[in-house]
Amino acid sequence: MKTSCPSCGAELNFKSKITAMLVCEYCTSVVVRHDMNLEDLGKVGEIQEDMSPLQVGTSGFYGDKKFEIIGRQKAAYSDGFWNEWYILFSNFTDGWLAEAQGFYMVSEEAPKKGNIPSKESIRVGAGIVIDNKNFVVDDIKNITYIGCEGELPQQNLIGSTAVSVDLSDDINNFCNIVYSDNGNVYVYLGKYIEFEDFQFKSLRELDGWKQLHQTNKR
Amino acid sequence: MAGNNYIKPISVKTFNCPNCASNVKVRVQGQSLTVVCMSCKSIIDTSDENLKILQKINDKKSRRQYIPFGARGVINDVIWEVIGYLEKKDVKYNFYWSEYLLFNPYKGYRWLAESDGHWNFFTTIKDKPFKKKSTQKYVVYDNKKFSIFNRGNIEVSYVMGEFYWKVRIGTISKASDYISPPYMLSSEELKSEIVWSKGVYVSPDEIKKTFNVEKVPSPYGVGPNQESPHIKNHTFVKKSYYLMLLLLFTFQSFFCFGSKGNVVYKSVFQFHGGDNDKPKKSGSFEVNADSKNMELKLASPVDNNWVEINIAMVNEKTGDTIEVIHGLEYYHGYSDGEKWTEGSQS
Repeated sequence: MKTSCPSCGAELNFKSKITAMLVCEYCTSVVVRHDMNLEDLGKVGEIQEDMSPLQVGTSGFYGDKKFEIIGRQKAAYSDGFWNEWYILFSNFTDGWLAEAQGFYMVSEEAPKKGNIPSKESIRVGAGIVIDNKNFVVDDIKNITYIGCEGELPQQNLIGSTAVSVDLSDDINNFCNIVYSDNGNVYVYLGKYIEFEDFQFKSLRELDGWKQLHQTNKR
Repeated sequence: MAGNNYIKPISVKTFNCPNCASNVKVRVQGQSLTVVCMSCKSIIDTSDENLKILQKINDKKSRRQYIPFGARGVINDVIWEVIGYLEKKDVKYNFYWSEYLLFNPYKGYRWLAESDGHWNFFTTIKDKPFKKKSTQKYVVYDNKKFSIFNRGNIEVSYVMGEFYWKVRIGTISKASDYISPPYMLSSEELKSEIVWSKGVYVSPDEIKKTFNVEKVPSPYGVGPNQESPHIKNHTFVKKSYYLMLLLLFTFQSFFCFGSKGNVVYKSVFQFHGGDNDKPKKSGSFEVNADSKNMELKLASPVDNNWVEINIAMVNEKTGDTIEVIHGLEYYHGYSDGEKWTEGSQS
């Protein structure tokens, strides 16, 4: 859906029908969509350089499913941060590509949540069955969203918080549970994928790192 | 939001050291949470724009950094740059080693560990060793059995360069190393989080070639996961061994069953008590040159008695003598209604 930024008038293009907000790339105003009405929530500023090779517009493959990155939110905690890239598959379903320290995990919302413990009662080491898989909690982090750009499905405004829980099972399935501060609980199931297997196109150009490989091998 | 502390790393390529104002270079803009100032050796917290000093290093470096910062090398088709350098020690054994932090923006981070001149290239892994099959003595990963090599507490003793977490000298963590040459699996437990990494042995020559450095330390002894240089020959050696065994058995059988068993001399000698130093001569007999082994059989009707004979075989042509002492004893009787015997008459 094409429209104009209520703040600076630049052209805005909502690529997905289900996204709730979009950050104007020219003036960084957060524009929230209420059906056809647009609300301007003010400017968020650009996300600072963190040497990520990905950008809004990068495309890649998750298995044989092609996707495009249409948005990003940056989550930080006491000892680090990661990028959550919002991806749109060619069949218009969505997912997330989490990127941290060279690790890339693609996840999609779990079809059935099952019995998820409450934010207060979940513990490291606890076993939870999700989608017939036996997961164990590896890690619980209190996160704050410190940046956003492009198109995003929910309103995780800068400064909003959440509890992010990482789980894994014996056979390399990974799960991420997000207890959002608006009360919603999201459950995602995913896998770690090697950078090369994505066959990324339209990556960011990084100063001093023009080529991944020394030779011209593809 | 109250109570949530989170980092907001600075995102610059250089900044002025808050302690000595020297220019500090940042190689991984926006990601490094600690950068050490080379001039004044202060560990600077770059997770916050206020840039506070975490610690000062009192020059406790005890080893040498062989690969300089900024050096790039290609490993498995990927370019890696050295951005950090750590020294760690085993708390119990006071044993030190070095770790180099490598970076590539597309692939993330890797480690080069150097210990006693032995190098290992480490990758952090997200999939963990198979727990059900693991005991204290080994873990199973990637269809290989990794045996425990060492377990203990390790302490960071020196830092330089930049890191993606808040490094401090003196931090102690629990670590275990498991080996399956040429691989090693290491686990490190920090703040109740266990991180696993997989290492592969790299030869000193490969390090020199990859990073274009002139000097690397000479390896001392054998590295924990260093493959035996003979491992490639294992199948050949095993096959040769069994073949040799077969040949040996064949030859031995041939000689044993092939021997003629001809009697070259047989006689009866009579000795009486008191004949101790009165030798008896046998007379000459011929032994064929192609006979290799000679068997000497002695028989005597000793009855609850013993006899010991000194035998000397003299070669009449050369005068060479072979001397043998041979004895016989035979005892028998009844004890508790049972007949017993000891020894024999031949």
